This record gives sequence, structure tokens and C-alpha cells, in this order.
Amino acid sequence: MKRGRAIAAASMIIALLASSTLYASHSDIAFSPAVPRLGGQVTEIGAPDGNGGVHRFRARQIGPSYAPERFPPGELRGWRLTFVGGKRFAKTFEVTSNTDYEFVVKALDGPLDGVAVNDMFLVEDINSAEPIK
Amino acid sequence: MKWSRAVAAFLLLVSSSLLAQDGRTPSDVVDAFHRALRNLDSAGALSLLDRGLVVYEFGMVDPTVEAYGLRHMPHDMDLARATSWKLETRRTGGEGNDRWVLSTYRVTGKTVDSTPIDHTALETVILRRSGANFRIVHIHWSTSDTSFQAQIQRQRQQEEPAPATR
Repeated sequence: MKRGRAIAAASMIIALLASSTLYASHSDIAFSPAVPRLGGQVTEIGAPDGNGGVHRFRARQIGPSYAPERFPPGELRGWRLTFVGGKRFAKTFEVTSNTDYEFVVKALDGPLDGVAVNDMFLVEDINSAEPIK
Repeated sequence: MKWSRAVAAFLLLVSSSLLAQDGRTPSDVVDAFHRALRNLDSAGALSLLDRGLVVYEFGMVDPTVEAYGLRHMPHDMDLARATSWKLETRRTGGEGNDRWVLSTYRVTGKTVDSTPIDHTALETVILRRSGANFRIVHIHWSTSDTSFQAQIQRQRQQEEPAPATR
């Protein structure tokens, strides 16, 4: 039980550190970001899994300007990933794991099939959103 | 009896020309877009945009839907989340597959440094029928508050240049 609490506390601290890292140099803003979010661009498509669906790809971070240059490894699990272009335009996925350049996603709107190199996406920590006042 | 049939046929004709097949009028699409922004529903907002979208926003241009979706739609979500947009006036027009919706909103709220916001936002939206639905092909936002506009421009200019069309 104590171990579970310790893990939960550690997870919370890591989450707070992650969010403060994302906003470390975010100045001169009119409105705070409603949720932590990053932009990315696909650089390589992964091989299909055993069922023939693609769930893995490589990417580079392309924003926002105040964020670190690379994706924070392991910190985007559970974040929502939405393509803003390409054949999977407006389709949403959930990040199940990530490194600083590689994503594995769970299909919310079907597999990644059709995603191509240079397609751009938003990845957002939607679970951290405050309720609307 | 013949008269009522003629009226029914006329109403059917008018309604079918006003509504897309999903039943959403152009005004409905604009309202749904605002709701999606406020609800942080990225996919929902994007799904209402045409792939040929161009946005003129507070003196800046997003030349592609990718540029808007990646760079400025998130800011619009933050703005929508932090403020209240009350529809004050609306005019609609156009015909066939091309429609326009002109709206003014009373926008109230506070910026991150607690500066009060109370101004009128002006919005022009052009929509085109794409398959079964109307989708937004152009948005132009401006405001009556020059200091607010300057603040928004400063924030958005911090972002890198919008990605070019591939």
C-alpha cells in the first residue's frame, strides 16, 4: 500500500516537472495553454504489426517555440495525438509509449494506415484539462 | 389540399437547399466549431474545416489547414477556454454550395496576467458544401480592441513561420 502511494507521489512529481519543463521559457503570452501540447512531423513509418496495422512511427518535434527541441521520452503516454494533415487528417490516437523520436499509438480511429512522412500532428495531454468554468 | 401539397413541396425544396445532408446549416457548423475549440476537441474542430482552409486572424495569415491546425488552432482553444463568447449579431447568405456567416461576439474574460477582456470580436466565415456537409474554407477574425489585437499578435509571432504547403 505504502509502495503504491510512493509510486503515485513520484508519478505526480514527474508529471509536474514535465509540465514545468514544457513551459520553462513560455513568456509574453495572453493566455496559458489549456493543456500541455506539442507539435510533431512524421519522419518514418513503422512496420505493420502481426495484424497488418501500423501503430509505430518516428517523428521530430516542431513546436511550440517555447518547448524543448525533442519529445520528452516516456512522458507522453496517455496523451491524445491528432493529425492536422495527410490522409488521417482529424483522426485521433492515444500514445501508449514514446521516446524522443519514436511513438507507439493505440488506435482510437483505426490504425495509422495512410499516415505518410511529413504528416503533421498535435499531441496533447488532454487528461490534464481543467473543467470549463 | 393541392395548396398544402404545394407549400409542403416548397418547404422541402427550401430546407434541402439550406441544410447539408447531416442536417447542419452553415450557422450550425460555425457554432459547432466554436464549441469544439472550447471543449479542446481538436479532431472535432478539424473535421469542420475544409482541406483548402485559409485563415486571416488578427492581422496574421494561416495559408493552409496544417498551418492553422498546428500553430494557431491551439491558441484559439486557449482563448476560447479562457473567455466567454456571446453571439450578438449574425447574418447569413450565399447560395448553392457556397455560403457565408457573419457574426459579432461580445468577448469577456481575463488574460493570464488578469487584464480584463471586454471587446467585440468580428467573424467572417465562408463555407462550402463538401460531400454531405458544409465545411469552413475561410475564417477572418478581428477585434474592436487594438491593445488585445497587439497582444495576440505578439504571442503568435513567437511561433515559427507556418509550415509551407507540401
